[in-house]
Amino acid sequence: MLSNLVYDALWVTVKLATLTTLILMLVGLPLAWWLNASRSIMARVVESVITLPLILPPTVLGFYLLVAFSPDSFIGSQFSALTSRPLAFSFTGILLGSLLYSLPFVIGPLQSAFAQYDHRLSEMGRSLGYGRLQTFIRVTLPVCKHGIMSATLLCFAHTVGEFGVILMIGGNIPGETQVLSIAIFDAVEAMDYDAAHRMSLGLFVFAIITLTFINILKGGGQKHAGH
Amino acid sequence: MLVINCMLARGEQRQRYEINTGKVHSVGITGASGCGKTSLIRILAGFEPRAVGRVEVAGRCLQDSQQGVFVPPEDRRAGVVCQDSCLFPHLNVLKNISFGNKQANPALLSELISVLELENLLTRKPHLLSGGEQRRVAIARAIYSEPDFLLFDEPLTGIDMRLKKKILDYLRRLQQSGVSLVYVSHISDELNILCETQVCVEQTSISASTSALLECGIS
Repeated sequence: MLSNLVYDALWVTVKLATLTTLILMLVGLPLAWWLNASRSIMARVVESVITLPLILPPTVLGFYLLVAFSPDSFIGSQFSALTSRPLAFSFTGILLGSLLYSLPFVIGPLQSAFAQYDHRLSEMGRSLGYGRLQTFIRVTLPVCKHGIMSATLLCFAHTVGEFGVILMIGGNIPGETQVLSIAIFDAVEAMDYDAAHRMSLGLFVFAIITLTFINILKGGGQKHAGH
Repeated sequence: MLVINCMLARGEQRQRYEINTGKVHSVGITGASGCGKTSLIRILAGFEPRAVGRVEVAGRCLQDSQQGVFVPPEDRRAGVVCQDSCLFPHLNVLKNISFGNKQANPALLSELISVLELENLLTRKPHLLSGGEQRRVAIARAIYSEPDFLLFDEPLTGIDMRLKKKILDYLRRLQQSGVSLVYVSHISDELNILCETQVCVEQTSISASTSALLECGIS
């Protein structure tokens, strides 16, 4: 039987990954569309900043976030004033960290889906009587659906696998900020190899299934490109 | 029908269109390939908001950069068939055709399916169609949206003679019912059957510079 600690960690992980994915898809769709369409230097700068977590050690990002979230900092003090709770070592804190850390994993697949998209389809949609937004919803999104689903899965899976940033800013509090990857680290430290095995195997199988889905979608996406 | 006086910059090339067709209902556009026939269709469809000048179709001003007028594509009521069909890859043939008509018109739908011989293709996705079949679907989609004017860019390429004749007959009847037509083709038979007047788009170099001037005259 799984212990309460594992259940708590599983719940925090699923909650964190779901919220991160939902928020990032809402932010990522317009952002990736803009990055793909814009030729401005500003867009390239934003793109570089978004991509930083791909090459930056998670501890570096985690350290800066920890500094930014501290009660002495502007962000940390404003959050405490509004909610009367500290931002560091809270679920909101690890959610903000996850949003930054997983953003490139959403933007990447979305940008490549939009880059393959044939913009004449949008022109055709508009000449058939639909406005810009309606055409985006009725034509662009369904044509790019494989890229969008890839981005969703990759974001969820990547958030589930997050370790360094959460360890730095989460403080490993069971039921609040302790996710599965950190619970495994804890179990190994405590030499509870049974629990470590169960959680590791679960995450391993989850990762294999997710990647298989993403690869199936990639194949479908290439067949489906609007060219 | 067409009163156009505008300039379109594409990279270093500038294309100028000066057309006044007078009161007709159908205009054929000819000219060598690469001379700007497709760009003209794109301007009329509203796909080139950066075109400078004035564009009028059937007495309605669609674009006037001096007065800041630009009617967006969705409000132009144009039925466009572009050279490579541009069917929506995520929709089957029937859904592609019905896309542009928000109120179903079953009589028109079955008429188009029968004229364009699409009965056996309705459930197929566009990537399973040949080039000629895709063009037939694109023609049906454009007409089914019940537009005020049709913009056809080489729509009958890859369609066999028998069916071509049938489609040309249908387009003639459609014209008689009041739909205006701008028809790009380099096949004079098609233009002679359909068009009251023809515009030849010519590319003439005005100087040693990289810019080019396109002059359009009515024949």
